[in-house]
Amino acid sequence: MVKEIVCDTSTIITLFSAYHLSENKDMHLQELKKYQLIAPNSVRGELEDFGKRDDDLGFFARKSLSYKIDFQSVEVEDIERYKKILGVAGRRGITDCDIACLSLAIARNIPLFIDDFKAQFHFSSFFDEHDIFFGILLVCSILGGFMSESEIFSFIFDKLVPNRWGNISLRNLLTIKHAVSEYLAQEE
Amino acid sequence: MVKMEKIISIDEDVISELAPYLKEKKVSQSLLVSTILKDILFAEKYAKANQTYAIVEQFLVDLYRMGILEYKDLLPVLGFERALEVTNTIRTAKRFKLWLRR
Repeated sequence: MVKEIVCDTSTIITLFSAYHLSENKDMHLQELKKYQLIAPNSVRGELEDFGKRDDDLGFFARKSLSYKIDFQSVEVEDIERYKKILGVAGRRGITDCDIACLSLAIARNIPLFIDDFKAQFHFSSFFDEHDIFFGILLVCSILGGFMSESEIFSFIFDKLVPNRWGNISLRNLLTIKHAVSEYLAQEE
Repeated sequence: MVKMEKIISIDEDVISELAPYLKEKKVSQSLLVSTILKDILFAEKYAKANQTYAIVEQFLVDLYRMGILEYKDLLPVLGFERALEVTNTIRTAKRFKLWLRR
C-alpha cells in the first residue's frame, strides 16, 4: 500500500540527494514509490529557486521536480491561523512554506516530514497528537529495503550528510546520529 | 598504536557489580561496550571539531535510549534546551518506527 506523506522542501532535497548518491537506483526508486509525496505549491517554488543554484543541492532540487510530487494549494487564511497558534510570525527561521506543509498534513491527517530540526521540534511540541517526523528517517526506511544496518549507517554519514549538509553544525550532526541510531536499534 | 585484541577482557569486579544492574535494565554487556566503542569511533570519524563533547552527548543519549538514564539525568550536562531536543529526537524516531508498522 502506498503511504501518503507531506514533505517540506528540505525533506525533498534530502530524499533526492540520497537517491542520486545511491549505488542501487532501481531499488531506491522502488522503495521511494511506496510513498506518495505531497507538498504545498510553495514547496515547488522553493525547489525551483534551489534549482537555479549551480551546486549539488541545485542539481538534487532540479531532479526532484521531474519526479511525480502532488503539489497542492493551501489557503492563506490557514497559514495565518497556524502562525498565530505557533507564535512564529517571521521568527525562529520558520517560514510560511513550513507552515503550509504543517497545515496540509494536519488537514489531510497524514504525517509531515521536515528536515528543519528546529521547526520539527517546534511543530511537534504544539501538535503532539500529529505525526511530524524527520526526512532523514524516511531515507533510513527507504535504504532499509535493500541495505543492511551497517550499510545504512555508513551511507548516511559517509555519503549523504557531507553532500546534503556541507557545513553541518555538530548539534545537527548529533541530532541526525541520535535519530538514525534509534531507528536502527533492534527491538526487544 | 596498540594492537586491538579480538577478545576484550573486562575486570571481573566491574562485571560482577555491573551485571545485576544491566540485567535489571535489560541491557546486555555486549551492547553497552559496543555502544561506547561506536560512539568513540563516530566522534573520531565525523565530529573532529569537538570530539569530547560528541562522545559525552552520544554516551548520555545512548544511555537514555537504553533506559539507564532518565530525562532529568541529561539536564546537568546537556542543559534544558538540548536535553529537550535530544529526547524529542529519540521519541520521534520511536514513533516513526511505530508508524511504519501500521
